[in-house]
Amino acid sequence: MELLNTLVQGVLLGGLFALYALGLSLLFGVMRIVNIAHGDLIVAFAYAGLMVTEFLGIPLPAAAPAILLLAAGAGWLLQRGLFEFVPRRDPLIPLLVAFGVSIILQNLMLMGFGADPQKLSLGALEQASVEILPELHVGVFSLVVFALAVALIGGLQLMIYRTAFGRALRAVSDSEENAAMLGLDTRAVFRKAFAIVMVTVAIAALLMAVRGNFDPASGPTRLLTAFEAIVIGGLGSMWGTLAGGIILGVAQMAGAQIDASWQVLAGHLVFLVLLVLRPRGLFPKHGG
Amino acid sequence: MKMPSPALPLACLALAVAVMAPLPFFVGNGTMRYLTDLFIIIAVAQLWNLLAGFGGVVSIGQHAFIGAGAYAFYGFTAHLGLHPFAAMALTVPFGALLSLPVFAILSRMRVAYFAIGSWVLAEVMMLAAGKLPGFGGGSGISLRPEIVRAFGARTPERIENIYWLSFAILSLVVLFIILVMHSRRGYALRAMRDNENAAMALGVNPVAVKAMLFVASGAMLSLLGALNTLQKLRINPSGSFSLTDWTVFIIFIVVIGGMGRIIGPVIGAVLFVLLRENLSDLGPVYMIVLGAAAIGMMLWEPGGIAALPQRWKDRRAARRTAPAPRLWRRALHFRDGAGRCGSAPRRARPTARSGAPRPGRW
Repeated sequence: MELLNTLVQGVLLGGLFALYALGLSLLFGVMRIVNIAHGDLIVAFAYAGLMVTEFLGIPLPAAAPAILLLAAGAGWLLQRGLFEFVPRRDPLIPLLVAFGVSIILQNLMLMGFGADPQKLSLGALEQASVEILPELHVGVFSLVVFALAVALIGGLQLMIYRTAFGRALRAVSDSEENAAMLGLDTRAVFRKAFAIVMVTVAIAALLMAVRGNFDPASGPTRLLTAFEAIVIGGLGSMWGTLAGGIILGVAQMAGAQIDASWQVLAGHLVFLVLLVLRPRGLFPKHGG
Repeated sequence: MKMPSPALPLACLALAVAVMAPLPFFVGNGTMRYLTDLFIIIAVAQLWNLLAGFGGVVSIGQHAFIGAGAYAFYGFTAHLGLHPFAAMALTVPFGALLSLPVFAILSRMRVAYFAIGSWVLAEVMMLAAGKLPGFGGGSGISLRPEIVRAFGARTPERIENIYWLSFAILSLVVLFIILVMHSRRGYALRAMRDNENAAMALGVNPVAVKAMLFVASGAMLSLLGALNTLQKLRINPSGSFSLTDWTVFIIFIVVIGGMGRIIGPVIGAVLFVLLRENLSDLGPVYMIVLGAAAIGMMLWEPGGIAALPQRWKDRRAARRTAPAPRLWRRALHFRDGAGRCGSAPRRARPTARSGAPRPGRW
């Protein structure tokens, strides 16, 4: 029972990890930018949620749409105001620019909110649990997070493979030059893509903030988790990312059974082992 | 392509040795400690630059080797009972051996993913260091006094010796980089940095060259980590494996000073130490300023401060050769082939495609 419990908790935690990873994966897929500031952006929107709920006193479910809209605007602005000016011919430059953004964000949050851990509260839903099997209780909130992760991945898949905008995304991802030659406004595609990425970031941020504590320095851990989920799953495969997140979640929960300090280390170790065994990930998009 | 001669960098190095080596006879202990810190920072920055600026390998995990060197030094002296000098020398092969499996794992990933992968490995090493039995766990442990005393019985004597030791190591690191960059491998490296496929077609094995650089830098970083413990006098996971000190600051130093040039990290490190003196009280503001400066530098001049003289020279030369009317020029550059605007460089930077070398290294 203990084992099954760990497994279920780990799988559900994996949903949250997959949510962390979606934006990172999408941004890399479309723009070939690995956004080192991804984790810090997640934490920044957790603080945005905190401001709205704590200081303005609006309950989270009511404020969430506004926060997501704000996130989309922030994404558009980040692309329009910064990343558009970053030459991407040499992958070094966007990487180091994102690194600078990460350090700036961390320290802005430190100045604004201090180093104390914070948390969002969602009232009764947070504590509620259901008994799915005899003696196996699962938090309702964890189930909601997992369901949202699955829904978001499904939605993004539909968007990428079924809509005109998705076609544009794939075209730009394949070859920016060719897409531009065919008359696609690649700049607009990039701006919209960044806006969508930031919406996923904000969703992940709010759920993370309800689930546990965060502080200005917790961005890098989120980035590393997201990165590991993507690499385990195989680059470019969103369902693979969910699988990667689940593997990491189970590994962390199993590690936590030994000792709290083993939780993070166990996740990293499983990642390294899988990287050695399956360097292209579990579900590589392109064969071979 | 004209091969730059190593004479100028070697002459600069010789001059630096001539000035810095006798300095302890003229300056006080405080200055010496300050300079020792600077030497270690410059050496670490040079090694990051060797990987990123010359080799195109961006690592966000080089602090792993600094920490591993510190822990190895402690282990060799306290647990194996080795003489401190022997222990310090042994951190070099230790670092080289450690970097082999690290590189083997990381080489499966491409540029940007390599960077985050190296970060994961550094995190793993830091967490593992806190679990090693006999190394003080999470809170760390102090160096034994007799180990420290081996570097000089009295404090002034020790400060002097550590000054010379760190300057000698810095000089060797710089000498190594100069010699490598002007060797056959160094030219292969430049070819690889400019165009990996073309380099491979010419018979350069990019993975082997990168592995060599990575192992060399891992070995020397371990030594620097051991040296740094002599300054700090204790090891602990978060301090010895400090991401901020040994990766964040180092990246900013190299980016602002000038990536891909030997003089770049020196300029960056001197600026950094001077600024730290005056601004470190500001805490987060200082970090924000550094981050913004690094971003601005990457966008404005990816070659950093060290590339500015060349940039101004180019601009003057461009002005002499009758420029096209302003509007016309702007129209030419407004949109590049991909329809991106703004990302078109203001001045045509030599690219791999044009077959021209990257801007001079010095």
